Amino acid sequence: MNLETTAPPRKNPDAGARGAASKRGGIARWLDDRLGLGPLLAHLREKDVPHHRHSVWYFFGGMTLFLFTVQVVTGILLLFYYSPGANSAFESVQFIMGQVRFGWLVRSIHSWSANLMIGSLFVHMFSVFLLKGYRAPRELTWVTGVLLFFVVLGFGFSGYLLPWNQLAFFATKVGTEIAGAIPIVGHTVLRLLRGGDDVTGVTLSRFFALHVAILPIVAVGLLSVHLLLIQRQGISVPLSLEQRKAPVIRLPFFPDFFLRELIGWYVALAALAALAALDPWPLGTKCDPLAPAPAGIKPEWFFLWLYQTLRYLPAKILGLDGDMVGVCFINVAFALWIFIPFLDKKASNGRRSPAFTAIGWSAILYIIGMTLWGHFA
Amino acid sequence: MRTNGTTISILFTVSLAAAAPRSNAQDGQATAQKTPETSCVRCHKEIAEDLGPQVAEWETSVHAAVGLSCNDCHGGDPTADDMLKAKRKDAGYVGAPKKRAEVGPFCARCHSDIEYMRRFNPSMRVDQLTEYLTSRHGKAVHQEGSDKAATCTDCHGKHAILRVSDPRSSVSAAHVAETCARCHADAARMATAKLPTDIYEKWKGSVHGQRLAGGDLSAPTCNDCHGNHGAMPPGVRDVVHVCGRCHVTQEEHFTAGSHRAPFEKLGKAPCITCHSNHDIQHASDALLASQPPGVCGKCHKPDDVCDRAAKNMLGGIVRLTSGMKETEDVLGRAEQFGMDVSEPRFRLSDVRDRLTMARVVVHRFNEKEFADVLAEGEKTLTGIRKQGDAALDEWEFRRKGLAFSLILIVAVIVLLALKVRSLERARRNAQARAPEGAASVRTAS
Repeated sequence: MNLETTAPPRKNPDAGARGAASKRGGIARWLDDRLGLGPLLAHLREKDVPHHRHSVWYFFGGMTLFLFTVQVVTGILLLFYYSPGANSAFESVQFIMGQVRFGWLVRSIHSWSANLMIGSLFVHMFSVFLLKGYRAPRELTWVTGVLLFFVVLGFGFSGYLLPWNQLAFFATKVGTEIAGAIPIVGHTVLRLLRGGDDVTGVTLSRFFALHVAILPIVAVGLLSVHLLLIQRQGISVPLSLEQRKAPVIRLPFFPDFFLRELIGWYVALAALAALAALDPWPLGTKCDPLAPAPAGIKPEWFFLWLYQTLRYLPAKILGLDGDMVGVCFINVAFALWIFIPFLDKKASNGRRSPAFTAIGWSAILYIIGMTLWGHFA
Repeated sequence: MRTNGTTISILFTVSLAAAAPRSNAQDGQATAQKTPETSCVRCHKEIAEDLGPQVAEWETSVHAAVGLSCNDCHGGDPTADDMLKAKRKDAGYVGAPKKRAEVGPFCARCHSDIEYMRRFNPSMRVDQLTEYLTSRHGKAVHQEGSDKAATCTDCHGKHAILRVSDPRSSVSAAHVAETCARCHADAARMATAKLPTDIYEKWKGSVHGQRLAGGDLSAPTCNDCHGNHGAMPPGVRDVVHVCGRCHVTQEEHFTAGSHRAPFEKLGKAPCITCHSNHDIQHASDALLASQPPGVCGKCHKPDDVCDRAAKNMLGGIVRLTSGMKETEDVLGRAEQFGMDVSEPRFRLSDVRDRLTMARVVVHRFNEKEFADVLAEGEKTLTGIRKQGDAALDEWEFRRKGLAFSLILIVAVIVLLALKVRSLERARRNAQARAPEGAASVRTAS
């Protein structure tokens, strides 16, 4: 049950759309005649968003989408000069950083926006979880969102290797070894990722293909479904507000909510520009597979909590390999995370589900705690 | 008389070598890892307080390792359990050398025999005795009858002889100076030879000694300059060749330079006149100064033509060194700001090479050649400095660009915020003006 205000009064969408289109001439009319944009424009005009004290969390979804767009644009620009290959990858990134006009800026923005996007995605996912935005009928929105989260982690993992520097090489080695600990299929997955038993130029080619072709296709597919579902179902009102049956103000998406969202995007853009110019993403030293692993090597911050979890597991758990048990546990936890809407039946029925709220907060505290521990250890 | 002495020694050596008893390892047993226990070993182990330790020492030696036993040096019958039978003259028993002059020839029975030594090590030299007889030690023992000068066993030991390449050996690179110092730092021993006893201490504090102490086994120690078996102090004219074995380019420049002839004329030894011999310190640029620690003033008058040339060279080196430091600072700052300066950093090694070359060319004492080398280094350095400055300029441009773009972004944010506020105000006003029913809350299913 949703509570809505009616300000301002809505017209018949189709009539409105036709009216708007008929008022326009030239290109707009020409396009409307061929594509029938009227209903779409009407939908956008009619679209509204709940406005309440938790509304701020809504902006993280849009911000993630904005940063993803930045990723796509800067990624395409980098593709003009990047050359995958054990003997050319590092040199081409070096060329981008040193010789290409504003290449340093494009690469730094690509790297920084990747990190900001993952950070924003974490906030978006957990805010949706705690506001119980996954409850019926938005189960599929949650499922596609979590799958997108995994895809984004895949982007982070595969993209990290592409500069082919020393840190990336050893981080990939450790990361793929973790994948190798999966029971039964672990070795096959490891060989599939690496293209052999070791991290080599073949691995780089595979990660490149994954990063610029396979993952983008999957991401665009999932993102389309995710956005379509949001358009169809609208944005959910937090369960706590819905239960109070208090009136909830609804803002028109255009221009009220969109302008607010635009402010968030500009803030992200300002942060990106400042980070890229003041702290350009380092290139490191070229990968040398024969060199010893750098001391204190750690994965990127968004994998640190997983790494830290596996690192402190005992070698044997109930007689089984500790790493294998850890990887299995993480996989099961991820699988359960996808199916949260189907497990939290109380929330779907419009009732409070404190157990799931506790799970959410525990996961947040665990991730933050382990990440900080891993960072300072 | 000396010639006669040497001839006698060599004849003695040959006669001993002809009678050399080499029973065990002679017939293809050279690589045996363990010699069978002989009657010598059995008995001498039993009389532990007397000759037992020698058996224990021998067991650790290279000789034992290659299958040589007591009788291979001392002769006798190793199968006879009875001492008198074992040590019979007709069984080849020769015992141990009784005089110092007998030691060298005793060892040379095998070590001067190429056919014999080839079985153990095909590349091993067999001229040690010949060299030794020409050395100061060998001459003292064999020609002057010294009972103090060193012979084989003084350096290598008697029974616990190890390969020179064995780090535990008394003559390994790490230990040879200590071994020499056992005699050369002993005032009583050196009194007769009238040699200084502070050489070892001086060498230990020198750049060579410090490098060896730091684990660099290629650093020169006593035998690298003086020779080992043919140990002899190098002559005044020859010092440059001794130093030139490692400092090849410096020797080339000195030999072709302007100082060689006056040094010879004045009887001054090359290299050590400026750098000293045993207590050689790291050669600093200040050696070119007129006053100490500069060394030119030892021979040159202040402000003479050579002194001025030295000052010019010193000035050039100081200029290039400080220029390099400044450029490194510029590149370091650019790096701190995230600029990529790997290429100019790499090119800085060319300047470093030029500086090293300039320091080496100094030994030719030719101002023009020195200036040419220096000019090339300075030219490269100027180019690198320009790259460093350009990197800092680029950083400044980025900073200003960032500031400008941030101002624009903030301006857009402010405008958007104002627009949002005005929309909100308009919405509130519209709600306030709207009839009560229209603004009321409705429940949507």
